[in-house]
Amino acid sequence: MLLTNYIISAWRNIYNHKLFSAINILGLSIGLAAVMLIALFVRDEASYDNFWTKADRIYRTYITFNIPGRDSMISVQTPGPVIHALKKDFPQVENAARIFLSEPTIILNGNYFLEDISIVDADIINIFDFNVLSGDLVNAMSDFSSLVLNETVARKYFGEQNPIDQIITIEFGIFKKDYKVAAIIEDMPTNSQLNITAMVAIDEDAWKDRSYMFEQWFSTNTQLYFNLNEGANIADVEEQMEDFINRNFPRLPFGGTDTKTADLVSLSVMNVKDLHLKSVGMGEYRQRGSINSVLTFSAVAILILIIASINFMNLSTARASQRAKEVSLRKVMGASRKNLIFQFLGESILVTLLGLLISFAIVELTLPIYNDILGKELFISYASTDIVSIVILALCVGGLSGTYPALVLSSFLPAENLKANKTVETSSSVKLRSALVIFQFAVSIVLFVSTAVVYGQMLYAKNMDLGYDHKNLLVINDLNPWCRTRSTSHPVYN
Amino acid sequence: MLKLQDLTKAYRTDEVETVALNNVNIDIEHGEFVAIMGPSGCGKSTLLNIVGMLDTPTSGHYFFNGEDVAGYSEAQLGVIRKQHIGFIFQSFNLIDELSVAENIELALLYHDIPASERKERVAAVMDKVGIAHRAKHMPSQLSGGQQQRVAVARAVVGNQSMILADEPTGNLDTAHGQEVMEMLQKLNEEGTTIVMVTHSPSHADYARRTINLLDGHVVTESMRA
Repeated sequence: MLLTNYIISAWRNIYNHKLFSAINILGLSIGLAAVMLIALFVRDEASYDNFWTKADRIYRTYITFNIPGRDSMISVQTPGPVIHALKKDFPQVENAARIFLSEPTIILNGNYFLEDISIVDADIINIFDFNVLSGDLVNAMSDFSSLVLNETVARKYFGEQNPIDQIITIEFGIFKKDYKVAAIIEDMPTNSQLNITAMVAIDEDAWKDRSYMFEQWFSTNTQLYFNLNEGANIADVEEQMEDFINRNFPRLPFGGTDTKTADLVSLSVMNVKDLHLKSVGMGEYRQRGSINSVLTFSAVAILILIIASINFMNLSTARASQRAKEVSLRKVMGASRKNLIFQFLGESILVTLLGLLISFAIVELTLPIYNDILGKELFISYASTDIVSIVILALCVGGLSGTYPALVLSSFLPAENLKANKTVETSSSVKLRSALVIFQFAVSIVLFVSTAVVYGQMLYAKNMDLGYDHKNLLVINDLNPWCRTRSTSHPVYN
Repeated sequence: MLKLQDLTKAYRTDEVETVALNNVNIDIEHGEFVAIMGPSGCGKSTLLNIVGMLDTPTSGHYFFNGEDVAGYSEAQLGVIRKQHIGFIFQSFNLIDELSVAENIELALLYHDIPASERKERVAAVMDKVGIAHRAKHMPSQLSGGQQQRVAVARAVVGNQSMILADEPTGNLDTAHGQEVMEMLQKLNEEGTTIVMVTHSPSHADYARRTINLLDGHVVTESMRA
């Protein structure tokens, strides 16, 4: 078979020119590995919250205050009463729920712990998908004395014991109450802006003394999620938002007599899938991503891929003179230009696939450090379409960067080669190669300098003088004035 | 078998035009053994390249088996070449990455021949040129004489009716040169047309006709008795 001959010839070419092949394959595999690592990051960033069954119709509100004489202020937390008005005024809202992430002290068997507890409206379970591992989630959410834990938190407190019906005391500051563990849910995926590890239902009566939590119209403390009925259009809701504000929010003591509340406050919505990369304002419970870093990293990945391809192309065409004899001979023996292009393209793809194998090894070796730096749990799923996309990517790189060398090589004229066995690379090919080398170096230098600047900034941020010594410094939140006086008068504080 | 009529080949650069072949008229019959001689630069190799369809003439006619191929494209010439013409070069031109058998098989690869038949033909031709024991060796493991035998085998394995040999003994010592010449002679006796460029008068004596070129012109043609 012609194909067998191509493979033999390609393999022996790789094997007989070990240094050249090593540089070529390693260059390509480092490039591919970098691209894969960046792609994993970008994909993870772009995948936030798009796995919810109702993702397309789940929204979160955010509020903007435009108070005269002040900078405008955006908060992703919405005043507590908005939910009731929203449900009343918009029939297309199917479910709505608030989330307040608190960090109370919990007491178990006389031990004290700090734990994240989300205080939520019961409808939360109808908006998002919760996988219940044990207990009854629906009942848990309709009972103010029930507590829902995720698997990790349940294991933290109860180990292998059955956590259901166990009692945990929660000290919320304003009240202290015993809760019964009523359901265990699967841990939420990490690629979500939602971070519910334990939750109890909002009992507005119990929080009466802190009316700013759920009752005041201009106090932003809870994130408000809602989902629309199927087929409903969010634009209809957005359109009516001004009227909604004027109708429901109390008037603010700013502006003239004809100033409406909607002139000072606006309420907007953002789809849950956009929250991670596009949401702005304070009050986020989980660290956001940045669309800019996603775009920058994607651009960097494309540049790396281009550099790797150019490197591959240049190395291949530079070695063309050594292949001139083979090309000419094959032509003499009857090979058409198409045969030769096919052969050299195939060779490029073979080299790329070898590079791909090595790049998998590089990715697997560097992923733990990479995940550490990013604080993510990225991995290549070999049993999914990941592998197909990666192989297709590698084939494209091999194909694209192999095309030019294949065209150059297959254009050699046997009459000029077989006699003198000299280089017949045309001057235009040499010029193109020089131009590509210049481009390759320019892009590399830009990437180098950018990396150096970012690294310098990171070092600066790490080592800058904060104006105080953060060692031996204890930060205590939420102290009463009398407690502050008493504690700071203690001899251990200076 | 081939007829060159008023054939001219000129190479042009920006400033000068070099005429490598000037109004050349040559007839070569089936089964002939023709030697082409002349000093360096007289146009021998250009003539062989055109005859071998590796190059095209600037003007004139080239009839191959009665067909004027002078204006044919590279692809059209390639089809005729692979069916009819075998090549032997001074520097052997074997592919370093392929073994002896694979190098010979190369001449059959671009034909539509099943693998089993290819293997048989390669084995037969290796026997014929006495290189069968080296079938799996790489060209770098062979002597010059052995490499040229492989090249001869490659030139004939496709049952080509004409072999073009460009100084086939130029890189060989006398004994090996002799061996190759005898091989060519035998092929010719079996009916293969051979056109050979050579500097060696003694090797030219193997041919029945010698064409002498000078500055792109055919100056003399002599027949061996």
